[in-house]
Formats: sequence, structure tokens, C-alpha cells
Amino acid sequence: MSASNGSTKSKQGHKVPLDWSRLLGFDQACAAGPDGGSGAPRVRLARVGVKVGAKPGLKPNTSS
Amino acid sequence: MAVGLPSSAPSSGPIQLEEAFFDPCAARARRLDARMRERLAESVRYVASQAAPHLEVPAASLASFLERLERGPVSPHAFAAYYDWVLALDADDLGEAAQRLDELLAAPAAEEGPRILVLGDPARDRDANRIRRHVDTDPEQPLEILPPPPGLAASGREWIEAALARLDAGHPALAAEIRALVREVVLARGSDAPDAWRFDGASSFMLWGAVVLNAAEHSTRLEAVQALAHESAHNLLFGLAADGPLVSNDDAERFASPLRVDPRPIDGIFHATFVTARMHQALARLREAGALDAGERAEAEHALAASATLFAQGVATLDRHARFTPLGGACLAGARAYMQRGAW
Repeated sequence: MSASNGSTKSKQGHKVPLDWSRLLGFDQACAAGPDGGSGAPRVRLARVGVKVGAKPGLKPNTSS
Repeated sequence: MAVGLPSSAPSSGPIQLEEAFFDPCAARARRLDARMRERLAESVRYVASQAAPHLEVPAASLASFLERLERGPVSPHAFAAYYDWVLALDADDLGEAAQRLDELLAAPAAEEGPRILVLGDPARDRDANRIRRHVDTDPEQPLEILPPPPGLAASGREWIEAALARLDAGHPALAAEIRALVREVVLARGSDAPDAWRFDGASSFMLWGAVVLNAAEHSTRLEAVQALAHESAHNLLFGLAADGPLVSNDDAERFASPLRVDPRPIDGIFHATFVTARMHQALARLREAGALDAGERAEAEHALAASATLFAQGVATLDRHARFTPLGGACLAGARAYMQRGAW
């Protein structure tokens, strides 16, 4: 499949409009409320959407 | 009481506070999975309609994918490819979006799990690279995951299989919930770089149904039991919170976490505290069931005491700083009641 206009970008000013509140999990990611900025939900999803566990005191690999 | 009722409620309805109970339940896990698939289907339809003027969306493939979603569990890669697609559209990269849409629509159905897989080389294996990208999302805290060497992968697989067998015998409700929530356990290892962070395991909302375990960090059956209890509990919270958050704190706020040496958002501390209670319960139930040998009983006593201490630390931070939503309050109340019961 290829982009319908054959380019890698949409026509200027016609970026695909997305309502972040209709995207899976973005309301969870935007606990403080979506601000409408395109970058903010992505950053928030990265912050709260991933849980990494480790034994306390064992990281990083070096304690020096 | 409904939490975060969406504008167009799916057939299975929104998350109910009554579902936020603490004890493991496979039937609830299957309902949460069905809800996640319904939410994914709703959003895929919406995004496809928005993207259609800009991007070719193959109707037959889309219909087939939506039918798979409705029929039953799908690969965690379906969820990950969805996020790749949405984020490519947000970046206005239509070529990338077209490729990610192809991957999304090709995502297969999945059986109840867990399949135990070994991470491939992210540089050459598309699935491995997708898993790597979706657990390494925080620029403030890079996490490199790598393929484990064959010997480590083999021993990791043995520990996970032994842990599941032990849970089947001694805590069957948790074993059943794990099988309903977790489609794939992906064995990996961390980086040996001196400044890299060691990890036990990782779960990602964007990889619903998959957990990554560090094969080098689970060298006893009980460590593997705790790892499964831990990561599956993250997935349980992801599913419960699909309609809305557990806490309303700003995620830029940072506080001490019981399971991390770095300050974390309250949401992360909530997760850490809850999963600690689940780890505690896993060991306590195995002990009650007489499913531990003498060496394991001593190991369990030590781990139970550590979990109780970490839970108390987490709760203290949450009580001081968390602004719980009704859902978050209900989830933590269940964990707190279990830990305060004292029967263990």
C-alpha cells in the first residue's frame, strides 16, 4: 500500500486530523487533561503507558 | 457506578467499580480483553475514516481485521502497530503510516497464553523491533532490551514454565488470570553497559497482552512466580484503566517509588504499589497451599516481608500525594484490604 498522493507527507495544511480523546488509551495517558498539542499526548503515553520494574537498589548497573 | 463512560459505549459496557476488586479472576480478565478489543476496533474505524482522504485504506483487509478483533484475542502486535500507525499519522509521515497500517491489518488472532517467546534481534526482526520500541519510550529513562543467549533463554523458559505449573497447583485463580491476560511472555536481557539500568520486567499499554521478562534476573521458581504476578498485574491495571486514569495527578510530578530508585509519576507509584500486593499474594497463597519446599518457604518468608515493607512505603506516598479517581481508589482499597487482613 502506498500513500494516496504518492508522497510521504500530506498536502500542506491537510495533516490527518485526529481527536486524541478517540484514540485508545490516550485519555489514560492524559490524566491531567489533554491540551490539544500533538506532541503532549505522545509524551504522556510514553511516560505512563510503560511500566518497567527492577529490584530497588540494583540499578543502574554501576553504583559509582 | 460507571467510570469514564465513553460517548459511544461498546456492547460490553464501561468499566464498573465493582470490577476493581483485588483477587485474581480470569472471567474479569477476559471481559477486559474484550473491552480493549472493542476500544481498538472503535478507534481503528475512526482513524481509518479520518485517514481515508489521505491514505489508501484497504476495505477488505480492514473488515477482516475488525472481524478478528470481534471474534477473540489478537496478537499484542495489533495494539503496538495501531500506536505506530497513529503516531506516524500524527507525525504526518504517510509512507510510514501506510506501512504501519499494513502491519496492523495483518496482525493475527491469538490463543490464550502465555506463549513463551525469545526476543529476536531488533535490528533484523520486525516483531522484536516493535517490542523494543514500545518498552523503550521514555527519553528520560532509556531501556535497552536485547536477545538473550540461547542458554539463558532456555533456563528462563524453564523457570517460567515451572512457575506457571506451581501457580496452577497452589494459586489457580492467579494462574488462570495470567493465562487470560498474557498472550506472550517475551524473554530478553538488558544491556551490560555500565550506565544501563537493570530491569526485571516491563509491560506496556501499547503492547496489550505481552510482557517482557529479563531472563537473567529470574533464577529461582519463586522469582519467576513473582515476575509473572508483577507484570500480569500491570496488564490488569492497564485494562481496568482503559476508560480513564487511576489518578488525576499531573504526570510531570515525581515522587519516590517503592520499586524504582528514580523518582516516578504517581501513576507509576500506584502501579508499583498494587503489583507489590499481587506479588505478596502469589507467594502467600503458594505457602498456604503447601506448594513450597523447605528452601522455597525460607525464600518466600524473605520476599513476603520485603513486599509488605515496599507496599507500606508505596501506600504512604500515595496517601500523601495521590489524587485518586473513583477507579483508582477502588483498586487500591482492594489491595490495602488484602495487605491489612493479616491472615497471611
